[in-house]
Amino acid sequence: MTQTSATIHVVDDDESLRTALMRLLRAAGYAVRTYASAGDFLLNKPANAPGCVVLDVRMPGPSGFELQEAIAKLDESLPIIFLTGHGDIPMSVRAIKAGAVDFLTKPVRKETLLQAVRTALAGSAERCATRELLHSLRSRYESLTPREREVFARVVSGKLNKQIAGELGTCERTVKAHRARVMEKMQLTSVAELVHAADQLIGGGTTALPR
Amino acid sequence: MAVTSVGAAVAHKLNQPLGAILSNSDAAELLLESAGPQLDDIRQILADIRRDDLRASEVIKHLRALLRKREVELLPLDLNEVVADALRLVDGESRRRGIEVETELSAVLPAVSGDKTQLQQVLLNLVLNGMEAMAESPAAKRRLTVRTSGDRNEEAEVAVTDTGPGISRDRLPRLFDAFFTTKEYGMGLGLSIARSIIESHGGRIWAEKNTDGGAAFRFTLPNAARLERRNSENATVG
Repeated sequence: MTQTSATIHVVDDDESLRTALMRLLRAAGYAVRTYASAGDFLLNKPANAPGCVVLDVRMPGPSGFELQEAIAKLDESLPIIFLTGHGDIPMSVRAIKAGAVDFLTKPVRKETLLQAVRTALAGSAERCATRELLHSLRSRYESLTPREREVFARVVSGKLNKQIAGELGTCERTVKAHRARVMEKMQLTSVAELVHAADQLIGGGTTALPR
Repeated sequence: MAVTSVGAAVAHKLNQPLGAILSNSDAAELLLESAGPQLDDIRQILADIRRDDLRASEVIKHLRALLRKREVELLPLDLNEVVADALRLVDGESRRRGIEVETELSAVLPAVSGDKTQLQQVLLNLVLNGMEAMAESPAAKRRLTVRTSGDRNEEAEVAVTDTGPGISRDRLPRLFDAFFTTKEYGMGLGLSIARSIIESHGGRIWAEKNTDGGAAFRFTLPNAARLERRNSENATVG
């Protein structure tokens, strides 16, 4: 049950409830940090660590919904579980539409909360893995020379070495050499993998590959 | 988020302690199942559960006070005297907070009747709110004024004004709603109880922005003869 690397962040203005949740989640084997407000969380949370947020809706200062927006903008891999003293259907719809894992009401049953936490942490781990993969792909791509990038773009668009040589005004043997360097630097072995990597790079917000 | 109904507000107020109690019990259970549970931790959890239980019952007690049908005994009274009595009770508080308290009491107030203790409760509430509102004001500027005025044949009015930051326009309409509070640790019931008291006296209570900044809370009490007439009319209809 223990997830050593992940941290559960509990954000609630009610000190008593905050402490109770912290005790429960710690007793269940999780690392927990608590925050009294949205601002407290934004100022003191660790950057880019896996975990999830258990978030109250109604707090003095920015509300839980406002914090949810802020977290989304930060591009953090932190799924959110809302926990509210009084929730209605429009509120839960709003929360889930904005990407929350769950919208629970207080008092919350242990099983319900722990189930939501497990779902959230699994989502967080997945998002972290994807982000790391993309990060590594991006840095490998950035290690390519401009000419290698030109070759990369033409290979993934299905062009033959001969065509590429013609377009770049060079000979086929040079293209072959570049191509081998691209595969080596990208740590890939097939054109199919290269195409997939290109898709991820473009989908992940990297500038379009040079033509 | 706006509190749209008392029901939602009560649910929220009660679910906080209830949520803490449930999670604390669950935590204690998990700790007891673990190897070598720390009894001190369990003891602390039990103490917190007890405190939250009392907190929940406090909410209910306040709510009962709010919803209780007020049987007011309306006796002729001197409004200026009620003001003076209430201010005497907060004398120490105003000195401690460095607040200058002024009174402007009219000598020609209409005859009013009411329940002295309840009206004092309203005044105390307004005065203490005003004092709290000035906690952040510069020391030289902390002034609370209680003014009585009225026309001999009409209603009497009491105004409590402070030199605090005032009340923002969007909050004015909801100030007297149950469980609406601008304070960090307030229950949000003081003004709603004040309103229910004043209304049971046949009067009105409202808040406005003071002309020189700060807030002004005012309430009126009807002329005793008029109130008498109104009540007997109601009795005939009812």
